[in-house]
Amino acid sequence: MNPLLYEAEDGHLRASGIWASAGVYPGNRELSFSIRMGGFLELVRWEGKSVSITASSEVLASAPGGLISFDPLGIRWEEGLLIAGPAGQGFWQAGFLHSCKHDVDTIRRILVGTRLVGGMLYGHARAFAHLYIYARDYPKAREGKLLWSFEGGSSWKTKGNEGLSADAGLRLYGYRDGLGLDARASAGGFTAGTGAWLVGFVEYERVHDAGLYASPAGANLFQVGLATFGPVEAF
Amino acid sequence: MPGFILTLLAVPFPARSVLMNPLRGEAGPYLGTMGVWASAGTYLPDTTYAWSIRIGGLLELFRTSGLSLSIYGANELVAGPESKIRFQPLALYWEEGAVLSWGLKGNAAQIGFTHRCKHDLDRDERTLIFSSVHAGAIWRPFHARVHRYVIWLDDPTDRITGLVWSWETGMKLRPEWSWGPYLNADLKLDGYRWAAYADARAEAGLFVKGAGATLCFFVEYERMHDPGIYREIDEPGIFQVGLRATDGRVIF
Repeated sequence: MNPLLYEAEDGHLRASGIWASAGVYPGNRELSFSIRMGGFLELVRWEGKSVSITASSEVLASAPGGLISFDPLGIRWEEGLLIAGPAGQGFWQAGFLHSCKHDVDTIRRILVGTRLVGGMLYGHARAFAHLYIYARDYPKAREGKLLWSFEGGSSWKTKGNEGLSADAGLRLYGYRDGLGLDARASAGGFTAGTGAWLVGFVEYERVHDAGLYASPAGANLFQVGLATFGPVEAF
Repeated sequence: MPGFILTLLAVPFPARSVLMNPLRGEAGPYLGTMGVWASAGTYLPDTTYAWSIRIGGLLELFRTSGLSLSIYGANELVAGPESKIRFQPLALYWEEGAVLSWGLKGNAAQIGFTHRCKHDLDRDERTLIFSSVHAGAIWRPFHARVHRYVIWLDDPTDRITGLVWSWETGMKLRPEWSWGPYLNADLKLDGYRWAAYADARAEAGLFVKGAGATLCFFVEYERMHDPGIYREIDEPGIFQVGLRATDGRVIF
């Protein structure tokens, strides 16, 4: 999310954006659905700099069968405040993010993390460093406290109102007792109207700790889904 | 401006504090408009409930000959005060649906289907599904909608499976200024097989409108019959102070 992609004059409440996606993990009855949603609101913009609040969530669900084969397992939230500004041909961003994960209709594991974040967006590439100032893992499923993470990635899409897009990224987590690595790649086709993008995508994720169960467990996840972004100028 | 209103209000619908009107956005023919809103508020004084965080959005898929088809989603997180940071997530309401909207001689009309559920967070108290087909209309500043419920689940109390219909009505009073005061009031009647119950909501505040969003500082009072969070009917009357942001165009 980069509010400075949205051309606006200095002032308050100049830009807002939203994105959402819904996908299925084919052949996986234990972890079958992912529904993600997020947005940003630019509070103020002055001399090319921007202050925004952001929020996002992800619901993960299984498919137990029956009339509504959708049983929510867990939910992740993230919200924060980001400052952005121009840096040469790119942009810098800095701020703080608070994230948590909770279980739905049961209790297995609660994760909370608050971190300072700083990074760059440059053309197709991005890189961010996160320094955790608070981390909680209830009921202490993992002994080593999360200290930092570093993420880098790249996204690409063809020009025009219809075409192809791709995104890939890595994220390295630093715990007091070791490291964890997540990787993600997605590709798809998109179409744009005057107000929103619609993207059909396939995604592969390798996560070192899905956080869903009482003990840390990695997962390999292949997702097929639809995503939407809007307004067109903000993404 | 005549147009369509997707009326989403009254307890426990998570988008009860906003109205959605895709025809206030850019014209199609497809993916022409998107809207978003979010609010965060605290209940004062906190008893069982301490926080309400609501978020939602709308995407218009097609618009042709004045007829608009949109999908939308919203959720509400309710948190209690029993934790070190006075934020213990209790329950989450979701709703998602589709609505067909069209103009009607300066008024607005819409029909649609909304699937709703409520789940607990980090506990297992009560799970609800209450999905309805609905039809609504608007005579600005008034709006109304009727529901016929078609899918139910209430584990373990089974009470909501007796919910047959709901009728919502309300009004939104706001001047066409860049900032100023506003007033919202909503009433919902829930018809169960054995009786009808009423929920009521009133909200007042100050708004400031920017080019890309509108920010509202609000105070809200809600009287609910059964918010569905606990197995027992607790009939809360709760007072909230909060901030809400909307795109100010499609959602307001």
